[in-house]
Order: sequence, then C-alpha cells, then structure tokens
Amino acid sequence: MKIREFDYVFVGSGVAASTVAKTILESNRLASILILDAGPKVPAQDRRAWWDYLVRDRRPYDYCYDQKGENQSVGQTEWSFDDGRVSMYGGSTVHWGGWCLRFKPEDFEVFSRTKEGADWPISYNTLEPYYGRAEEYLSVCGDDSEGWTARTTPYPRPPFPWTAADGEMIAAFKELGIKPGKLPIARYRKCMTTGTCKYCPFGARFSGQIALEELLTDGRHLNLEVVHNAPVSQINAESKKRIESVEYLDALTGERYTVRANTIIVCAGSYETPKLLQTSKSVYWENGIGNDFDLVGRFISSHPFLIVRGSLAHNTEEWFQEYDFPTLMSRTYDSPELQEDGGKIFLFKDRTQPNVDIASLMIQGKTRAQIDAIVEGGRTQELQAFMDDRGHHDNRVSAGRGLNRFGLPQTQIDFSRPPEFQQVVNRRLDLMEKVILAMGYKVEKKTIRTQSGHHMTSTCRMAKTPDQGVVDENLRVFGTDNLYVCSNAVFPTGSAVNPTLTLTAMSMRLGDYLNSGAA
Amino acid sequence: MFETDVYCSTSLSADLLPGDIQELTAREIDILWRLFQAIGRVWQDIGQDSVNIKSDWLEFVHAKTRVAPSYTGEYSNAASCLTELINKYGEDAAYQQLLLEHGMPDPPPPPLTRVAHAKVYVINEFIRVQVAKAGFKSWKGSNYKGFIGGSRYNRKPRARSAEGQTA
Repeated sequence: MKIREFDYVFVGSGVAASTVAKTILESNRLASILILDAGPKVPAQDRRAWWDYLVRDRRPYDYCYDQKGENQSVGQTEWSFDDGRVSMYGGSTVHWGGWCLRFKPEDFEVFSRTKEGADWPISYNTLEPYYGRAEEYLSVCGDDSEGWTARTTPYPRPPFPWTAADGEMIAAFKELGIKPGKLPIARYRKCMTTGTCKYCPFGARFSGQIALEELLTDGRHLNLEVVHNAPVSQINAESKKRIESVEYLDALTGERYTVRANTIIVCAGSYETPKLLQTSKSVYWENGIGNDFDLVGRFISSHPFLIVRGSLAHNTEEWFQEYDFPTLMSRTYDSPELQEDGGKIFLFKDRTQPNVDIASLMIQGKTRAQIDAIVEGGRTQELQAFMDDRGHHDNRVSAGRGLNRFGLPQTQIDFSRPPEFQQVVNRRLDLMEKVILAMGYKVEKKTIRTQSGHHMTSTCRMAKTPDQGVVDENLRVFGTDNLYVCSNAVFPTGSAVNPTLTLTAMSMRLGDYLNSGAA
Repeated sequence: MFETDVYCSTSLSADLLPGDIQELTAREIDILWRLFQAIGRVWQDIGQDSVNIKSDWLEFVHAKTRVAPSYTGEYSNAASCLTELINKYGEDAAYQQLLLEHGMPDPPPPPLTRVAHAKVYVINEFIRVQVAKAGFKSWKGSNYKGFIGGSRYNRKPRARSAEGQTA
C-alpha cells in the first residue's frame, strides 16, 4: 500500500468535483488536489468517435453505462438502470443534455407546504447568487423575460428560438392558459447545433472531463492531479470527528494507495456516495460514516417521467425537430398549487419528434417518391413531463452483490411508490392530454415510463440536525470535521426540473465556504 | 443480391474485414467518390454537385481509414465490388441495384458476402454522411443531425423557427 498526501481529495470527477476544485484553484492556484474516478478516460472531441456516433449511432462511452446483471432492483416498483448514468472520467456530465433550470422557492419548503419529504436548510434566496454564477460558468442560453423565478442577473446568452415544429403546441398552450417558455440550455463552448449533443465534436456542452482537462493544461495548477480507473473502496477515520484518508486501487497498475488529505469531498453521485459511506465502517463509525441515525442511502427521489404522444395524419410542412434538444417548455404546472395537490410537473416537448429518419429510408432502398410520401404522410408530437418527488424513508440504495466492472460495489435499489401515486400521475396525464387534443392530434400514448435514476437525489440529504439528514447546510457530514458530500445526494428533495444547475450552484457555494477558512 | 457475380457473391464472415496495415489507392478513392456522388443523383437530394461536400467526405474517409479499427479493408472490398458490377451492368444500373433494389432492411442482417459488406459497412454509412452534410435540405430542413452550420451566436435561427406562427 503506497501513501500519498494532498490538501484535498475528491471522489468523483463530474460537475460537482470539477466545479468545487475550480473554485478552490481560483483562490489558491497551488492547492494540492487529487481527483479520483473509478471509470476510464474516454477521449473527448475525437473525430473518429464522432463520425461513428453519427453513422452507426454508437457513443464511444456506451460501455460505461450500467449493464444488465450488474445491479439489483428489489422494491415493489421496477427500477431501470438503463442509460441512467455514465461511470467514466467526467461522470454523467458526459451524456447530460445541458438543461439548466433553477429550482423554485417552494422546492426548498416541501415539508412545510405538503407535510411530505423535507425542507431544505437553505432557501432559494441563499442560492440565488450562486445560480447566477453557475449560469455564467455553464454559459446558459436563456430568456431573461421568462419570469419563472426571481433573478438578479441576466442569462449570459440569448435563448434558442422555438422551432417551427413547436408552433402547434405553443398555440395549444396558449389556448389552455399554459405559458410557453424557451428551455434554458447550457452551451459551454461554441455550439454549432450538430444534433449530436451526446458526443459533441466541439466540447460545446459542459462536461467535468473537459473542465478538468482545461485546468490540468492551464499551467498554473501545479498540484492538481486526476487519476481515472481508480475506484475508492474505503474512507478511513482516525477519530470520530477526524477523517484521515481514502483508499483506492489504481486499476491500470494494480497498485493500492492510501491518500491522506486535510479535506475529503465525496462527489460520486446519488448511487455511489451513500454506498461508500455505508461501507466505510470503523470503531468510530460502526454503521458507516455519517450513518449513526441509519439515514445514509434512504429517501431516494427521482423524477417520474410522464408522456402523452399524439399523431396527425399529414405533415405537408415536412416538419421535424431539427435540434437534439427541446426548445419549448412550460413551468405553469410547476407550481405551489400542484405541489400541494400531490406533485407538480415541468412540461417540455420531446426533443426527437416530429421526426423521419430520412437516411434510414434511403438505406432501406425507398425511392425519392416513396420517401416524400412518408415524410408528408403524418407526424407525431409528444408532450413530456418530469414530476417532483419527495422521498420516502423505506426507499434505499445500498451495496449489492460483489463488484462491478469498475471495481465498485454493485447497486441494490429498494424502491416502492405509495398506492396514491398513480392517482396523481393520472391527473397530471389528463392535463397533458388536453394539450395534445387542443393541437388537433389523436392521442396515441399516455403513460409513465419505467422509473429510473437519471435525476436521482436525496440519498445523503442535507438537514439542520443529524437525526434528519446526513450533511449539514455546508455539506459537511454530521459528526465530522473534514468530510463533505457534494452531489445530488444532498438535495433534501428533488424538484420537477433537472438538478445539474442547482448542483453547480451548490458546488460553487461549497468552494466559497472552503476558501473562506470557516471550514 | 448479385448472386451471379463472382467477386460480389463470395462468402465472408460478417466481421469487419482486416485493413489496419493497408492503404487505399487513388483509384479506389475515386471509385468510392463516384459512389458517393451517385447517392445525390439517385435520390435527387442535392442542389449542386456533391463536390461542395467533398472535403467532408474526405475527412470522413480519412477518419475511418487512419484510426483503428480501420475500414480500409472494407473500402477496398467495396471498390472491387463496384468495379465488377459497373463492368458488367454499366454505372447507372449498378447504382440502381446497389442503392435501391437490394432488398436489405435497416438495421441490416449480418453481412455474409462481399457485396453485403459493401452495403452495410460502406454504402449505408455514406448515405448517412451525405444526408447529414447536405441531402436533408431537399426535405425543407435547415438543420439535421450531423449538420454543422451557423455560428455560436443565436441571432439567426439555425432551424426553421416558430416565430411568426405564434404571434
């Protein structure tokens, strides 16, 4: 076992680790920082990989998704692990869509308003300045006149306009009193709207890997190091309060390391973070670090994903959704009233419809006339929604059977929805169906997708007291002096919108806190 | 497809043909380029001559033949298949059969003959490149998966816009 020493060690290399590390380095460029990720390094902006994605629909990191048989779903509600996260250098930012929506003030007050879930120990106003910084950092293209939440700074970039194919749904929204909006979307570098966002040839969509590579090649950060293929197996405590080190395997050399650090920050997402805390047992923490109240891994929250699809028997305009991201959304039903009625929803038009895969028709040997007839012969549009989730005590993530390909414990999800859940879903689907009908479309599908963990939160939730959560309002694990969690896992509850902007804002706030010396 | 053509109908494994230590000849590149041009003619989806997107095509061929796993063996095989078919049927009839009358679905079954390799590993991918780089515009689109256009500033919509429809 080799021993190394750093000021800071991070477990994970996604948006949280890269943003906290950047904030620290902006204050102290010589801070010694080690970032560990269990997954491999997949080259970014590689032309061959991009061409293969375009012509074969094969992403170079496909092998970094969870595979069948690696994890277990044991609850009453089926849990899908498909395409939910990416285990590689850069984490799930490698495949995210860049949707950047602020939480609303009521998202921070869920228990007070609904008697379910939990309140956040911080408010929207606490986070508002950090939202502005995060939007600037991620280069969010948004509409300053949207008015969904109070904001003190404008978006750094103008929004992407609604596409022609959005027009019918916008009209239906207005007819039903639903305010249409433009989706705020992060475009970190030059976006050329290639529609290949899942592997951008220009690095236009933020990823933790690209951000860290820029810090590494900057030349000023002499003591920054990233090690990939490095699963962390244990966090060691030298006393109840003092966390001493982490242990990792360099999977490429087979050597094991102990890394001592003044500050340890776990940024390993809502699956891996609780599992690492649970398995880090010692005489000081018999149930795992931060787990004296048996709360680590509980309260899994993740968006229910609702869809209503409609069809029209003609498409004389030859419309198709020309981007690989949605441009139309609404937060009218992302409201305190629907929150108190069981669940609010964030509406958005599907990013892939209407669509005809012209190249596929040509590959099949269809003639020009046949393709024209297919393109003009009809279209589908789909209204989709995320619903907020509050988390229940019995829903839990824990270590499953054995290790996965990356040397991390497999994952077991015990997740069940309460009986009244489907009634709320049905009411929300009815609202969505009205939009499709107002468009003059025939409803083809009205359903909820299999539950998955794309936006999983709350498995190490933030609270005011240790009997209510795992970390305090500064993201420090209760009962420790120098162990932090920075991940969607700390959100006391999710909201109806994507979590990454909020996590970026929280990461900047943690960076400021560590820089202030208050830690 | 082309069962009577000796070279084209030769049986093969479905695996990518080896090509890591080969290079394409100028003649092979020329044959493949003529195939790429034929895609635009057959589907009438290109306003100008395909030469306007030749640099995109060459960059694609370069990436596919200079980086592992190399497609050089597949491209060389496709050039030989095309030569045999054009010599026997003439250029127009050969392209007509290869592009329209092959009877192969998408996604395709594993390719087990030389001409099936040419279809799956070369022709199908050329079609996707051709549509993404220019062909889609003939179906009224302004943007398509793989198309690179516009600038980072959003002053002008890069896709057909709803503005005006929704006032």
